[in-house]
Amino acid sequence: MTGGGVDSSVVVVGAGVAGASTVQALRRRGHTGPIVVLGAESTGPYERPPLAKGYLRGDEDASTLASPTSQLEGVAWHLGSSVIGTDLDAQWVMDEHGDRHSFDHLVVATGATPRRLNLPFGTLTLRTVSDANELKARLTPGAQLVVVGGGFLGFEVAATARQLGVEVTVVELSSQPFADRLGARAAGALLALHCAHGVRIEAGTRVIDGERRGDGAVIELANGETLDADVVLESVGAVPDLSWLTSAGLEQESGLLCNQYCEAAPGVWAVGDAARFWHSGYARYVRLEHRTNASEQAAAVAAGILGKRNRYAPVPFVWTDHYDTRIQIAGAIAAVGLGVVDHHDNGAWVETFHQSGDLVGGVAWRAIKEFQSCRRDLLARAREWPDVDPPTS
Amino acid sequence: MKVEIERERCISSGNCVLVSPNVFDQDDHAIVRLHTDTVDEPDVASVEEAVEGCPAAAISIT
Ligand SMILES: Cc1cc2nc3c(=O)[nH]c(=O)nc-3n(C[C@H](O)[C@H](O)[C@H](O)COP(=O)(O)OP(=O)(O)OC[C@H]3O[C@@H](n4cnc5c(N)ncnc54)[C@H](O)[C@@H]3O)c2cc1C
Ligand code: SF4
Repeated sequence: MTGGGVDSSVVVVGAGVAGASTVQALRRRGHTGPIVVLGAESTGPYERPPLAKGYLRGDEDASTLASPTSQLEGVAWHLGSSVIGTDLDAQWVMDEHGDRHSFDHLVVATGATPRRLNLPFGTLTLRTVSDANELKARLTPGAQLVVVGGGFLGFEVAATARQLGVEVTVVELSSQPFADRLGARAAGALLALHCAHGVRIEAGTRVIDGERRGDGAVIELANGETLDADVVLESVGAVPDLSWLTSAGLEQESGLLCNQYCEAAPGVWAVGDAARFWHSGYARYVRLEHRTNASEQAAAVAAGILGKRNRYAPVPFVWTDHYDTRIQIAGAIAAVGLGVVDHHDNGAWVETFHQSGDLVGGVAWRAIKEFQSCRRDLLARAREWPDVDPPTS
Repeated sequence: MKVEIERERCISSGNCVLVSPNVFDQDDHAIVRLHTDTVDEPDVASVEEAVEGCPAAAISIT
């Protein structure tokens, strides 16, 4: 197969932020070869985080979501064109129109698709602009929204819906929502914030039955409660859809399995939500569904394509917005136990988590700037991580 | 090297401040602002890293 080269041909499958960032990083690093981007959606790359926040609330319009790609010369964008198959030996992918696109390097940037529970009534999911438009049209003042799945996405929508005057109930399987993502303290604070804003939380239970009623549904929970809903949002996670790659014989385990360089096979790279890569610092495979990861990983993949492979071992960073509160998370949060809290003005605080005396992660509550020093310390720690190789099977 | 920011695009991730604190800062709403728009040699590499790492593509260099 091909080595790295500035004039190699690259096919990127998926025109989300991970795909677009890879293209940008390639050009920025001097890549001059032909690039083809194939995207299932009819729109060019855009930001998804506002779909649950400002865009859904009506503060932002579609033009502010769009990622700037205009300066990218010699890039062929095939939008509204899904890839349906590939032959890695012959080095091509085939799109839904039957056209083949040849490559020296293939970048898998197909993101993830909302998981579905197959409930016996109609539900919405939120991943794309058109999903957001559909949801927004249904979030009228006084409407009853039931959110099935109380993760960041579900609760962000709950907050936005409350701001729009919608009645909201969130149903979550875990009896301690967010505890594994935020630690017990921030998880408790976030749930209290939602309760204070009038969100009803049914935790530690699940939907067992229900039926369609008008445009909405009547929903039965395992704890015996019955909920009336005008709108139901399912937010129970997203899984990569890599069915177009099945013939290629690459390993998938909810995400395309790749090594510490984000390479699934020679010349085949994965980036963004679709990638499950070997994190040489954490010594395990991880899939990071975070906006910042999409850009950082794209830079690593671009370097790899240009023959400058470097281990990709990021300190994960994610933020989530609820009402006027931004929560940031960096590193690895211990699921149980409490960290050390530093209080700042206006109810802001930063909690740091340690393992065997070493800083491993932090959570910031309304403390955007104050979190910088913790993030910097985590990055410094990461420079001392051992480089653990992936297990050979 | 000159650096430019588009504050309306910034999503206040703080990445730029993290990698290049001599050049980037955040205001009270955590939106990016510049200490300086002229970058000298010692900061060039970190500013390039900031451009690449900005999730909102809000930073450009000329
Ligand atoms: C509503 C919402 C809110 C979010 N909020 C936050 C947040 O606050 N903070 C945070 O850190 N992260 C957030 N995220 C996560 C973040 O947006 C994702 O991590 C990021 O979008 C991943 O980018 P990606 O390019 O890997 O995948 P995607 O953005 O999913 O893009 C993949 C693209 O590939 C296309 N595609 C799929 N299959 C094919 C195929 N066979 N052929 C061609 N094209 C294909 C898809 O249609 C899609 O357009 C949020 C996500 C959502 C949905
Ligand atoms: S990296 Fe980009 S989005 Fe983040 S604070 Fe800086 S300019 Fe804003």
